[in-house]
Amino acid sequence: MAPPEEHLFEEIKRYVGFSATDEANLRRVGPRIAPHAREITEDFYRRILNHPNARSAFTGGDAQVESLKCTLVVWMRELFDGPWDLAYYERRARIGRRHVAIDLPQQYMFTAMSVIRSHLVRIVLDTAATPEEAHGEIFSVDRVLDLELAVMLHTYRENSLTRLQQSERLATFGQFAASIAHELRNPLGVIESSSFLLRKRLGAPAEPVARHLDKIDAQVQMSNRIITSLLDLVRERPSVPRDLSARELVSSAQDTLPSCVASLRIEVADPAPVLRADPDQARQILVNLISNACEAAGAEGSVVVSARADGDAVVFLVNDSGPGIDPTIRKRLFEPLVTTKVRGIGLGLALCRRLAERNEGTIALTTGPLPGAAFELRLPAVTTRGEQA
Amino acid sequence: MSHRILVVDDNRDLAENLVEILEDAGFSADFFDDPTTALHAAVPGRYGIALIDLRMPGMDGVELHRALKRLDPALKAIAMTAFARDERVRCALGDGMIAVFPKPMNAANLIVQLRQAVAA
Repeated sequence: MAPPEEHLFEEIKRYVGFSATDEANLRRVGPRIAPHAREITEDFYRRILNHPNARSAFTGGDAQVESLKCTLVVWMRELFDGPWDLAYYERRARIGRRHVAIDLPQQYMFTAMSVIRSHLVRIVLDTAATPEEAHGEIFSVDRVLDLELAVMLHTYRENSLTRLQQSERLATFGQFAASIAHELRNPLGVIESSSFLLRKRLGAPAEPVARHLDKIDAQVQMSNRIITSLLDLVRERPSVPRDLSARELVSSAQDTLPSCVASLRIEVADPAPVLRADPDQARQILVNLISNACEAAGAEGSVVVSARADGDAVVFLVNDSGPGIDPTIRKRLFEPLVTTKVRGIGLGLALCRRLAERNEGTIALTTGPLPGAAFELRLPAVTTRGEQA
Repeated sequence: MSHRILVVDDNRDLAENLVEILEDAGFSADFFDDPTTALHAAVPGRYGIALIDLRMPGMDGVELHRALKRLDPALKAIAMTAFARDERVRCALGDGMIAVFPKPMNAANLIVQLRQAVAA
């Protein structure tokens, strides 16, 4: 029988030579580092913010930096506490993905890690019982920081490849869709002008004839609107982020919603969390999700939209009582042209994800209190000093 | 100035419909579904206004308009397009075409615009 496949994290640990001795050393060093964690963090961000290119990655202002400082303190504590297991790997992998989301150039991971490394080494040297002990501890600090870099770079690369494939797919699809949409305007022009001429030739036609002509005109206009919205979908517009109240965002989405036959319940945490996103794009995501949910729930069903703060994110949940998402398309749900609707073209969720990513957020399928589909939209929170754990 | 209108669109059905609409509105008009043939037909002074589709195979509307203007500098022109964001729209307006109508076109608006162009 083939041996079970080694997890990437185990492989990295083996390669770096990270052992039980390192774990023991790190646990011994941890309490000596802890009193300096805040000062290391301050120095770390002072250096980053002094560097214009690195600084430009922080679009959320002081509040974002404050919240990141807290994250770094926790990060350092975990670095020495372990356990250095798969859950640890997953938490570290998220950091790499986050770096992709903010387009942080990879070289800054190394230079920034070097700032941390020199602080840690200095403290270990200053506080070790004997020079021999310091020697072993410094090796362990080096190994664990190398682990960190390896995990970050791995997830960074993996995530940026995925993003690239997605955007290429959507770009190709977008051009294709746009050219078809444009071409359809020519036959629509003929239909519209023929209908115009028919009306004139017929003078005042009998009721059924007039009704059919009205239908033709109305359908031409509807087709033209579909084309316009399709072209809007594939057109790129840069995000202009602003601080938004989750409550105002949800109610503006509700105002824009075409119509909802299901019973719609809104639950926004009090006080309403504040997020940072492009208002039009964030609203468009919610409108798409809520109108999908209303459609799935139907006249007899219900839809719940909730918003709450969760760490450095504001989380929106859109949950319906409809039939849920077919398991066969769950994995591809956010790809363009994938749809569960009889008359859908499969652009809504692809667009939602693209807009969420452009706003440094994520969108995912989850579960909620209602049995049907549940979508979770996470957008960056605006946090104030002291609010973070 | 002649009030005859030259209609050029590679979609023959649309070109025919436009001529019919224009004739109903009291204009006289000819249509061509091929820009080169249209260019040969446009002897100076025959047409007052040209209604030209911007995207056509062989010669696009912008090129055709430039060629027509060389033949007959007094000719006025209106563009039609299904591609509102086409680069050609800017060229057309830059070359002095009076208006660009997005397809599908509103026939009533088109007639109003043509009457204004004739009266100007």
